[in-house]
Amino acid sequence: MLARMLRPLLSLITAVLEEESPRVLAASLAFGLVLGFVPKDNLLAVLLGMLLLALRFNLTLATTSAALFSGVAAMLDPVADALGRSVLTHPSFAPLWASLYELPLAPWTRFNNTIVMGSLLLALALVSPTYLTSLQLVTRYRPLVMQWLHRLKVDALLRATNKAAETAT
Amino acid sequence: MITHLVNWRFLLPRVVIVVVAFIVISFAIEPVLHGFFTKFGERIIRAKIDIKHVDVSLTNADLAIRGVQVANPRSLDRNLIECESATFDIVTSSVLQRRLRVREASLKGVRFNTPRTKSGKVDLPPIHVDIDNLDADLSQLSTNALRQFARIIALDLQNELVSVQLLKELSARWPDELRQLEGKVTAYIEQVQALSQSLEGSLKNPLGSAVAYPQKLEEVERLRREYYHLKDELDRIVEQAARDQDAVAIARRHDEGIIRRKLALRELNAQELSEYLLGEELNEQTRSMLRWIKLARRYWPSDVELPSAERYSGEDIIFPGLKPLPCALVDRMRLDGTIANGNTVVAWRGEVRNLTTDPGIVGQPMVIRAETQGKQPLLIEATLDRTTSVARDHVVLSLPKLQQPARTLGNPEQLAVAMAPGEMLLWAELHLEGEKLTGRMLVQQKNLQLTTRLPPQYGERIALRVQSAASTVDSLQAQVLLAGTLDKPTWKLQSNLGPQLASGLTGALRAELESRQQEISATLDQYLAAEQAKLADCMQAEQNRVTEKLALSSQEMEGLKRVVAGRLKLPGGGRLDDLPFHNPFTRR
Repeated sequence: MLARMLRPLLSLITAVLEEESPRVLAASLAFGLVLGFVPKDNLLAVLLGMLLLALRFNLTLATTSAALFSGVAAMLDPVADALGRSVLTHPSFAPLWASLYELPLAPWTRFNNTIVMGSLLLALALVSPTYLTSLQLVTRYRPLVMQWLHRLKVDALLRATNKAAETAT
Repeated sequence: MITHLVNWRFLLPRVVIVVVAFIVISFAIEPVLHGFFTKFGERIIRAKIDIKHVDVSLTNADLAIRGVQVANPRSLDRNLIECESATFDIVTSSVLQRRLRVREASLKGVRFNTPRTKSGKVDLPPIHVDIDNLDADLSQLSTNALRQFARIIALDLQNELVSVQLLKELSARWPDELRQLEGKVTAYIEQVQALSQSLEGSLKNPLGSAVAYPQKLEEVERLRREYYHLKDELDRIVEQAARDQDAVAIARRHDEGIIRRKLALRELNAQELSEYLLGEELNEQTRSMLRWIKLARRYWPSDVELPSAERYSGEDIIFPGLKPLPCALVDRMRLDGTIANGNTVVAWRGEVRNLTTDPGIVGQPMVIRAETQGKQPLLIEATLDRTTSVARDHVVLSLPKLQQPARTLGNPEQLAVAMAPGEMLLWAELHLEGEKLTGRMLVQQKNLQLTTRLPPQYGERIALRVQSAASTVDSLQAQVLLAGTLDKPTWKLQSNLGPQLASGLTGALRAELESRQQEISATLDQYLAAEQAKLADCMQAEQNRVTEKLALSSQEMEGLKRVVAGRLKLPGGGRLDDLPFHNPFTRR
């Protein structure tokens, strides 16, 4: 039971420790940021969710990242609202938005909503720095973290819980 | 990079998951929609909504709902509306545009006010839709003239009539005065007898009598004066009694005026009478109609307080050049069902056009038309215009052949009119602009058969007279003019029933009062005559007694004269009148 409860956490640690490449981990974190920023009541969020399932991301890290960045996005709603409004109401973009809006299913993405558009733009603006920063951090600090975890015998615990979980299944 | 990222070992199972999810959604959409309709509807109606089944076809974009029951929030054991099936032909492209456009909807088996097996209560605060102000004035309605008539016929005039009072007073006073006079005469006779005896005694002692004679003579003189005084008093009483009889006659004539004044009835107010008789019935019909409109206004377009989002959800920008689309629009909705009319069930059908959540965008008012088939046709046409900031509603209701059961108008404690069953025309038109209400309702019934009902204390004769007046009324026409606001409507009733009945009733009531006047006058005359005769008899008897006693006293005086004459030795028994000096028994 305890093994099952700890499994997501341990999976996250496993990913960080050994299984995934730094690029995948960094991409998962950045993708989680986008997913977390975009409001969830539209087709855009559904498409991002499907993309998350379809591409090779670390699901645990991406969903954890999405959950964390959802909280951050809520705090940034006023900024997103102002940004989205300025983009959507900008006269030079009006024909583009209008033609996009007339496409089938496009209204379901709710891109004409100020917060959806603003959050998406904020997320897209932050995705690249997040990816690069997290890639640097993972590459630089993963060996150190691994050594620290070895000392704490977390890797042994991890193997044991994995074995227990496999036996249970 | 992308080829590196795509991991087919991960992708395939996930694609399978997505497909499965789609299949699950296609099955789950029905319970989800079921829950949405019930919860959302209950929030609007504030009463239970039961749906048996929701059927969604994603390929055809069709929606079918079966067994819908919407509880009545004002009567939780009944349904406000019940519908056997509802189908919606949805325009698929509108769904892709995140809009719901229904080309045609059809609601079958629509019924109203059906009983429920379970209570329709929900845990939400109720919404009050009341039209309670309308009858505020009506509760005061009553016919003042009828109340006045009731007061008149309950009047006790006996205490108000002067002649009766006067006669009562005289009946007590004059016999009493005569009795007092009789007492005085009796006392006088005793005095005469006493003097006579005293004089006879003094004759035996001539010396003493000579001394006492002048004193006795003075006594005789006093008694003589008193005799005439008593006689005068008797004459005065008799004369005064005769004069008082004349005063009674004058009072009687004065009483005639009092009777006429007290039994005068002011003209019955026709308007008052119309309101009194028809007010309650028409008030109920008007209230019912206004309640439905208020209810409709409450729910369409929905101003329901939706749960506010915890997080600000931004604003949907409408891009220039794009034609805004309504969130939901039903181009045409066909309705059919039944309504219960007493013990019979009447089929009806109707149509709603331009039912939408955004009337301003659609630019067309919602039009509702419903009609019943059969012997009692009913037509309702309503135009609910929300295309501008001021809501405008126009409703026309027409019931040209409304079968009316036997019913009673008015209050049997005062005056009630029973109407025989008949066919009635009911037509109403209401117009609401914002909160401002105008409208009118017409009621017409021909071949009217009225039976009046009065409380028993009025008597049979007045009942017959009023019935005779009512039997001349053969048609009813009434018009209710509505004004004010939906929350505080005011109304004015005009009808031919009041004027028709009022003139007849006034005539009947006045004839009755005239009869009563004559009866009272005759009774008064009889009473006065009887009392006067009784008084006259009593007076005559008293007068006779007094006269007899005075005659007796006269004899006594004759005796006294003889004694005095004897004392003076007058020849031949003596006559005082022959005496050379002043005769004390001669009136000066």
